[in-house]
Amino acid sequence: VLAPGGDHIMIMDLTAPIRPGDQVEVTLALSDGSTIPFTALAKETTGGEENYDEGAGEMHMSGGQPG
Amino acid sequence: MSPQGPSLRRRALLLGGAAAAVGGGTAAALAGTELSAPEAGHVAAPPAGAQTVPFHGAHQPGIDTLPAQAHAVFLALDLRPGSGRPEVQRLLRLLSDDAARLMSGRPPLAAEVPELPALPSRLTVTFGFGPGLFDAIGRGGDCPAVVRELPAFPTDRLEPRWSGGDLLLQVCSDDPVPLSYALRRLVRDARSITSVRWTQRGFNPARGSEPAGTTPRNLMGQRDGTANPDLGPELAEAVWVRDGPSWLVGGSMLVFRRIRMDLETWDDFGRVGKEMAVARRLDTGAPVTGGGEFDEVDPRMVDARGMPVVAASAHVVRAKARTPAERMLRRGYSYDDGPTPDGAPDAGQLFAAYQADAATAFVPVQARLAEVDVMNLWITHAGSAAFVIPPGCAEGGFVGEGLLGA
Repeated sequence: VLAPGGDHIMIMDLTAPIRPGDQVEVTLALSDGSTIPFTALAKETTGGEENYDEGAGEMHMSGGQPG
Repeated sequence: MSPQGPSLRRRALLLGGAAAAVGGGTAAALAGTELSAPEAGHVAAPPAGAQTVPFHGAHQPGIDTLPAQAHAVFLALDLRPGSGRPEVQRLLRLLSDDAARLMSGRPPLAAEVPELPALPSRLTVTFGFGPGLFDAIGRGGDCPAVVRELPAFPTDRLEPRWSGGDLLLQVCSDDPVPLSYALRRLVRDARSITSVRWTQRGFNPARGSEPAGTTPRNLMGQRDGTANPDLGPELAEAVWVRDGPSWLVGGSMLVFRRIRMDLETWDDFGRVGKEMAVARRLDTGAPVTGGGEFDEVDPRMVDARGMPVVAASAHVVRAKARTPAERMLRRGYSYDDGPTPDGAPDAGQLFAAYQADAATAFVPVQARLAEVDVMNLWITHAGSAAFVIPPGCAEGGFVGEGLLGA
């Protein structure tokens, strides 16, 4: 289960910015070759107290239920 | 009658049945569990805080959510310069998602404290669009003229700091704690696109302080809202837009006025005069011409000397709807921001009236009151804003999607 402060998915090297309120189509490619598409609502957050590189904002994504 | 009334009565009956079985000593196991609870009736009743109002539906919540919750915050946001259709769409998508979660007792996306929103106490979030929002999305021509600019009334003493706004949030709850939390999360998610123009906090008598369905008292001591349409077809006709563009059908219009009360002179005014100013009794809200609270004032009644009992300038004589199109749902709240440093009250009413068309309801009624109303001796309109209330949205949608496109 993905949760704030718990297991989450990082998206790096975005080709276009994700802005708060955007609906983002996400497709997870699993190791068994299957894919799980879902739609996520993007939201600005300072939660998690994580810092992966200098000054980069983190976008939290959730909301869609994996099919 | 509150919607939960019948089910509560039914629950009480079922509990009564269980208690009787225990008394008869017919079920030892049952008796063991039932008797271990100190008072079965209290344990079984769900806390009032757990009550929720659905966010999704044909209409937005917080309008025909009746009786009105005990607490309300009205908050006007202004779009930041340069905001256009994409920004407004993202904003409304975010806020609708927050509202749906918070109203159901769940934390908003990415929030980590489920306890604060867990008991929403009939929390509702209602969105209203001001003229600036229509302009920002390039649909300025779709903003009804009456919302773009309410007529000026001669008794107005409007202050810009309590007036206007691009996007209204009306957040109501019976409990100020979940309300405060909801408001701070909504504003947090709106902050990148909007700034706060004004915030006005209001209250009604605490839930349960009087029997359900009792008309609330305002700070002048009057029963306020007696003339409201009854929940059902009467209210629906007064409040919801039926004919109009598809993005507006099922919506409404809100006229919001900050009405300051001169409570010091009012408090020192005699009781008979107070009742004659409105033509209704303070204790019951009944007409001074007789009958019960929900009877109408008889403006033609004369006393033994042939003098009219009710002045033609009495408040309800002037305020009463004279045509069906003048009807509106008054969903007002008291405010108290005083006392001032020198000890004077700073209080009044946050008048919030919902209607299908403010041009045919609030405007003619307020024009009459501004012309003649004894109550003008004590009340002053200090703030004003009007908003289009879009219809509700379905799950997965957002408020305003008909206007903005999904």
